[in-house]
Parts: sequence; C-alpha cells; structure tokens
Amino acid sequence: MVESLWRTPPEIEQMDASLQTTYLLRVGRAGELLQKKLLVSSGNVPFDRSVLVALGRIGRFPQPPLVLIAGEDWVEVTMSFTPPKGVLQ
Amino acid sequence: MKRYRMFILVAVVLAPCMLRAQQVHIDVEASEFRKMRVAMPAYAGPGDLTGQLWTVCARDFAITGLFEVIAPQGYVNPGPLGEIQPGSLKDWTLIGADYVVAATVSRQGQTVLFRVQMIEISTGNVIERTTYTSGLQTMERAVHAFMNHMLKEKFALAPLFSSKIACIKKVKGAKQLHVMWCDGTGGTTIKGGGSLVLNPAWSPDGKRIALVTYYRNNPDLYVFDTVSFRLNLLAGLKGINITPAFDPGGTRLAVTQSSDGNPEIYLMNLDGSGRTRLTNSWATDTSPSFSPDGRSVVFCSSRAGNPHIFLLDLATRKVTRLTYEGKYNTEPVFSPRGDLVAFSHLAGDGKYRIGLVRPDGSKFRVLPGSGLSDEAPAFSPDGRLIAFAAANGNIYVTDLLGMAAVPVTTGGGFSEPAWSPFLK
Repeated sequence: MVESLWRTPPEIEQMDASLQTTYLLRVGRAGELLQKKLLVSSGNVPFDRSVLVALGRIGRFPQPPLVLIAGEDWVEVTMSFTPPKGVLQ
Repeated sequence: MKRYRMFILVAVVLAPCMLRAQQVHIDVEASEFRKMRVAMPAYAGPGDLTGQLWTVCARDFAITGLFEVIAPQGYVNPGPLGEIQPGSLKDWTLIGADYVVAATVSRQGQTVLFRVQMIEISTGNVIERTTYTSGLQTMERAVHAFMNHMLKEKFALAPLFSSKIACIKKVKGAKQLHVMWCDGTGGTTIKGGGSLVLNPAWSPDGKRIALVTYYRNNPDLYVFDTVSFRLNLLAGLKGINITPAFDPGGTRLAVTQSSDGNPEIYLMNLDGSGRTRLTNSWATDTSPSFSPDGRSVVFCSSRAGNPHIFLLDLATRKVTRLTYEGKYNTEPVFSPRGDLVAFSHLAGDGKYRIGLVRPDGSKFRVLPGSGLSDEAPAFSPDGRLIAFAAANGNIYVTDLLGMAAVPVTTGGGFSEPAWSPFLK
C-alpha cells in the first residue's frame, strides 16, 4: 500500500542504492495512523521528504491483527524505505 | 496485502511471548522511481504576466528532476487561484497531487510582484508563502528566486536557477555564443568573434568562457570575459586549438592542439605559458574534461581504432579505457560530483544518445533523452542533471535516470551546451 503511494523522485544525490529512511509509526486498532516519527534519516533530504509525503497520503493501514495489539489501542511499526535497486546497482 | 501477511507472520511467531503491544518491522523497497506531482492552477492577475510566469514556473518544476506538473485539464478547479483555501485540499488529493502551487501576479510600475503559495498536500503544510519581486523585463527572476528558495529550504538542494547555460546559436548562417538561464529564459546572443564560434567552456568562477572562433580563419582558442565582454586570444597555433576545459582551480586550461602533428591534449596557463603535452598517441586525442579533484582528465581518443572514452591520471600519466560499448563514444564530461562521466554514444539504431559510465569504467548505461538524436552532454553544477543538444536543434535538460527530458529552447539552431557554476 505504501509502495503504491510512494513517489521516489529520481533524486539520486549519492547514486547510492543503500539509501534508507526509517520511520516509527503507531497504528491504531482500525488501521489509522496515530503518530509517525523519523527514526533514521537517509541523509538525502529529497528522499526522506518523499517518504514523509507517502506516509501522509495513507488514509488507513490494514487493520492490525488483535494478537499484535495485545490489550493496547495501537501497534508500533518500524518501516524502512529503500530506493529501487535495479537502476542504481 | 503484503503488509497484512507480514502482520500475521510476525503475530504467529511472537504471539506466545506477547504481554503487550509488539513492534513490527517492515521493509519497503520502491519498485520504480516516480516524480512528485505538482498541481498548478492558473495564476491570478493580469493575463499578459500570469501566463508567462506560469509557463516558466511549470518548466522550472520539471527541470528540477524532482517533480512532474499535472496537466491542468484534469483539475477540479483550474483557477485562476491566487491562494489555496485549506478546505479545498481534497480537490488536489483527488487528482493525485503531492503539492499545489497558487500565485498572484501584480505590477507596480516597472516592478513585478509574484506572491506564491505552495502547499504539501499530505501534511497540509504551507511550505512557501512569499512575495518575490523582479523587474518587468526580467520577471523570470522572481520565479527563479522562488524555485531556489524552495529547493534549498525543503529539499536541501543547491540554487539551480542561479546557473546559466552557454551554447552555440545559429543566427543567419553564423554560429555565435548564446548565454541564457538554465531554463532557457533571459537569453542573449553575443555578437563578435566572427561567424563561427564553437566549444564554449565556463571557468569555475563563472566569469569567463573559453571558446573557439575562426575569427582569424583558423580554429583558435579565446577567453571571453562575461563581465567586460572582452575576447582575448589565448592559443592560435597552426592547426587546431579546440575543445578547451578549465581545471577545477580555474588557473589552467586543457586544450586539443595539432601543431606537433596529430591532435593531442595540452595543458597551459591562462596566459598561454607553461604549455605541457598530456597525451602522446598516433591517434586523435581530444575533448578533455577534468575530474573535480583535478587529478585526472577524461578525453576521447581513437587509439583503439574507433573513438572511445579514456581516463588519464595526471600524476602517473596512466591511461585507462572507460568505454567498450558501441563504436563511437565522444565528447566526455566529468560530473562535478566525480561519480560519473557522460558522453555522446552512437547507439545501434544510428542515433546518438547520452551515455553514462563511472570513472572506473563500470555501470555503462544510456539515457532515453529526447527520443531524437542527442549529443554534447553538460552536467549541472551540482551534478544532478544533464543538458544536451538534440537533433531538432534545441537544448534539453534531463535527470540522471532520463525520466523526462525538458526542452529549454524553442525554434532550433542551438548546440553545444555548457552549464555554468552557480552564479552570485
């Protein structure tokens, strides 16, 4: 779902396929995105920004299985984003 | 669906030890590069100004390599809109926009006021709301100021629109030096230097352009001062004095000369002194370009039979062949980042394409470009983009993946682009 909403610009500042941006997301029982926090920047601002924009475009995640929520109202998801490999490698 | 399966998998593995909410990790690899989409409703203000500024702004977004502009035909509200109301963001979400840009243009005497607003739709943040001013005759500068500010503040990128492209323009049978902003605006054709001017090359400080003219009926090397508009002869040896390239320090030039027999590459100071021969081959060696650290030079040589790209280590004089693909690779230029060499590559279909290779000879690839026949690449000063000349006589700018090639000139007659450093 995120992948389909993510527009990774051809901004290959480092020509580096190892770019990685990681966000910590808190997803509610109904799949709603409650919080997002940048955990690890790729160091490439346009790449990080494209991830932020993609996360903002998500209306709702799939409902997390109840077993993951375990009595809380949310589940925490760390999500790492990397660019397409084929072009850069 | 993939995500859902991931949730279940993690749940099954971790369920026995779960006492409270667990943390799940998901890797997302993009399947392809996609540009961010910008909606640009018509600007508010007098029509003689708004249309022109809208066109410049749309082209500039495309040139950045980050964005594609959504065609206005599909807009819920095509404008004119001087400002986006917060409640109307859904109109832009519906058409898949990531950003929307609205502007009001007004005029006070000879001054143009460009009040622009840019909203990031996913967050609702207004990332730009500023009024830029410019002279009536140079109103593209207001758009450039907006673009430069947006690129710097939101994407940590260099001010692309403070750089220029020098090229050769055919005017009534003569080929003359033409200098314009990198989006093609503000162009000036510089008369003088005779009817045939070739091979422009910027100095690292952007104050001089080395070029070749036939002013004395011989291909001689001159340096044009962009401040005083003076043209000074630098090298006029018998034979050719062509394809100049400044070294990164701006104190020396590499040039192709044939006074000693066949064309070889020489290095000289800007007053013509200290001339040193860099290549020594039976074949034609030409088109030097320095690496950004000044330690090596890429050039074109026919020493392998056909023209190919080679790299010369200036300390050891060791020469390494970089290209083996195809039978004709010429006009190499080093990226300002030092990570790529671009060149003109004769493809299998008989058309030229812009080829790319790493300085160690690996990762050869070809850009789709204009779809015509593309030659004479020139890197932008930050190494993110490439300008080239297409067979229709226009200059194009493309990103390094070749996702879009944007024409920055119209009408044809343009060739040999050379991209300046960032100018102050």
